Amino acid sequence: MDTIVHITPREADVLRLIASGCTYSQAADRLGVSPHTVGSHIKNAYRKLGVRSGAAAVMRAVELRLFGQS
Amino acid sequence: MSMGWWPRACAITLEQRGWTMDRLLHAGVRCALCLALLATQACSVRQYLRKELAVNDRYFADPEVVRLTPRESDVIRLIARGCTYLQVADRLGVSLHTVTSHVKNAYRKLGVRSGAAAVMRAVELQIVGDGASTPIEVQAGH
Repeated sequence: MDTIVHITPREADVLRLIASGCTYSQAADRLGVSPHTVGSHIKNAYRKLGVRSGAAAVMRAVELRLFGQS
Repeated sequence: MSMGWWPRACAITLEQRGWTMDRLLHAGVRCALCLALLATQACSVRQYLRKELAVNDRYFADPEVVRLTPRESDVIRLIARGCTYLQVADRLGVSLHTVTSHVKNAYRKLGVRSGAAAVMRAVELQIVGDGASTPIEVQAGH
């Protein structure tokens, strides 16, 4: 039973980049923000998804179709 | 590498940021090189090209060639469920060392360097379900 998870577009961007193998600093570079901001998006996304690792975050994001259907 | 996709173009871009490189790669370009990044490399152009080609080749590796052992798949699946390596070791009844060894081999086969990327690749390759089946509940903490 999934509760509704509201991920901001920026949080989704960060998750997508992390899922594609980017490090936090590479993600920061791509999005044109500081690594600190990326860390902040990640922290908020993890909290919303109820996870504590990147691997689990990606899995939840996929299950919740947050990456869009391909 | 398979001949199926070998003869693809190589693109050189001046843009370092943004989605240019990704777009090129996903459009089927075999190798997207960034001149700005090239300038920062402490190696020859030849070495840089070789490195980038290797990375791109692995990224676009034929799904058919990725063969995880059942144990490697188990480990990736548990990590995707939020287990720490220690919890994985506990569940599978193996040592922590064995878990890290499975992880290392799985990462190499998947061509990734992080858990997040490993899970994404595993989902793409249908090694890990995308939620269509019932998720395994994981008890945190022991």
